[in-house]
Amino acid sequence: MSPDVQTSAGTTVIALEGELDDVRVRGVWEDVVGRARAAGTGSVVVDATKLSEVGGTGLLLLAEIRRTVVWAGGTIEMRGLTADQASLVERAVGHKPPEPREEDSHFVSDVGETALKALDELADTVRFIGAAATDLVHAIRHPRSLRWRDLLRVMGQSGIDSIPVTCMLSGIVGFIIAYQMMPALDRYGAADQTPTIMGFAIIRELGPLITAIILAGRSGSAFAAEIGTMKVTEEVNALTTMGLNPERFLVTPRVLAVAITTPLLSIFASFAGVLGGWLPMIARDMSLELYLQSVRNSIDQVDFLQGVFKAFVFAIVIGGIGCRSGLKTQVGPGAVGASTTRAVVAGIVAIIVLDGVLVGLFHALGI
Amino acid sequence: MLTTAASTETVIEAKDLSVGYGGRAVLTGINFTVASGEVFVIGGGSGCGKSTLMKAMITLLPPVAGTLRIAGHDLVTGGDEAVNHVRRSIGVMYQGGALFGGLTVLENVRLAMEEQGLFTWTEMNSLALSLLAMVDLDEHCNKMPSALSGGMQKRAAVARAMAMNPQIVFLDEPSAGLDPISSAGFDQMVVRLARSTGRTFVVVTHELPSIFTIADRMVVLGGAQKTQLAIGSPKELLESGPPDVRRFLARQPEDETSQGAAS
Ligand SMILES: Nc1ncnc2c1ncn2[C@@H]1O[C@H](COP(=O)(O)OP(=O)(O)OP(=O)(O)O)[C@@H](O)[C@H]1O
Ligand SMILES: [Mg+2]
Repeated sequence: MSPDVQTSAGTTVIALEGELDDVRVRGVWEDVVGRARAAGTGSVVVDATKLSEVGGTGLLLLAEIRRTVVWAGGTIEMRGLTADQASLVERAVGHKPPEPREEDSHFVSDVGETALKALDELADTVRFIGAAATDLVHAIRHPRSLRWRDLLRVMGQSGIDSIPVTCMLSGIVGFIIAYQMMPALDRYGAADQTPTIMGFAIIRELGPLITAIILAGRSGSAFAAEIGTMKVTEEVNALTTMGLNPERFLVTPRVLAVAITTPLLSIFASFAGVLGGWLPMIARDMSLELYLQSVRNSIDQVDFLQGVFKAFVFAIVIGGIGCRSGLKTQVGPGAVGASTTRAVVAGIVAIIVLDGVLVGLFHALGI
Repeated sequence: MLTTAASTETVIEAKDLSVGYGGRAVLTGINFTVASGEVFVIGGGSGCGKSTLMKAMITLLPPVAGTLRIAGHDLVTGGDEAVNHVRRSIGVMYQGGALFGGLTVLENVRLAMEEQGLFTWTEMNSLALSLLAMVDLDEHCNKMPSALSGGMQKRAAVARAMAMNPQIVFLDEPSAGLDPISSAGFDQMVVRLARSTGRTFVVVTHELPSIFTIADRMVVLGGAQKTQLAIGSPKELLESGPPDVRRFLARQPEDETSQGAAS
């Protein structure tokens, strides 16, 4: 039963009859509201005298019609409503009705806006990490200004507690790389070069990278969640009005803690990865001593320091991103979760991109 | 509760003040002064901008326009320097307490003193304990905040707000989430602290019993009007304030058709 709509001399008459229950409302909503919108500044009459029953959503439909007409600048008359119903419907003029769908999406400008926002975000993140690094230098010069308790706690969580998982993952990755590499090397009769490859791949690259990824998942997310919760409970505001700078107070100990532990952790990870690479070599009767000796011979101190340096840089970036994401936490029930996710994703993306940049940089510097 | 002669000194002055977010005013035309030693209430219905006005006064939200002078420094023209000065002259109790979860109650109160570094360890501990005694929490000083009830957390937060000997103490919705008895107890504590310490208290609340217990004077904000509706003592306003304000204080809802005052 679709509503009867007649238009004559600038007046649109919408006559509704029967029962206006949920199902029917859904069926006629678009049609009726569309007609009301089409009436523009003209006048609309809604005739409800023949309606036998109006449910809750029926009233919403009437209200929507009224809103649409009023905001379009037209006039509206409702016939056949009880006084209570009429007063409810009349309250619904407060807000502009939503625009029809197709008008609010502009693909090109959306893409442009998103890109600009992303650039802003990036610039702000870089600025934040820069400031965090500067604060670190200040804290090291003035050790009394440091929150030692936070520092030690975070060092425990991000360092000692991370050793097992980091070493295990790194060991497995080392094993997989060595195992997959051997057939290829065999083709050139160069399987005995496996330790050389392991030395380079693990110590320069994968040890620090795996450590950093685990750091992002464990500590970056923890920073975002801790600081984000403090933001929501107004503890960050409390610090601010007490004259204690939240950046110095919350960010510095955390970033410093991971800057200390991550390079150490990365050394453990590299060692575990190299060891994992030995496992497939057992089948080739290579002894551990010989294997380690070959790995040692293949790399020099610069390679080793390069890995440690990378881990240090990654730590500051991930710690900074985690803390910033926490401090940017909005209000609302999902806010802390959103910040945590952002910290992990942004952290991992940042270190992998940064790793590429560092490779280029080291190459340019000839090391 | 204006007890001393010195209480004529003005500690807060708002003149043609507009406050809001991102340059868009939520409230305009705010004009009031608070004298030293007063308990001053910011009242009004939900969503009228009480928290916004308070955020501006405690330096968390830059005012949009006008003059906002706190403890002698104008937050509109004074820049960072004024902000830092004001922060040194105020203490704030946030709605949920906002105690630092990783620190004990005593450490929470002691924190700002530690950072300031003026006192010895022993001095700081006894100062913090005396502050906690003022809010009846000295027995609980070594507990973690999570081990305290909501009301106790708020009292601890008041002690923390007073730690740096502030001229003005701000309390955000002290009765929110408290049962009527605890809430009345809290109000009495506020009156006692104000009288005994001579500090100025600025309290944001919409609880009528609280308002009548603690307020020397109050400003009533109107959400629909986006400005202040009246200023004066609660009794005066109940007897001879504008009709909207009288309705708010007498707890009568607005009549059916009008959008009403303090809403
Ligand atoms: N962060 C914000 N950004 C923009 N507008 C805001 C923000 N916070 C609040 N507002 C708006 O400011 C107005 C006043 O809000 P405010 O929180 O100050 O009210 P309130 O009087 O404290 O209410 P309540 O008693 O419910 O706490 C509201 O209309 C609200 O929509
Ligand atoms: Mg509020």
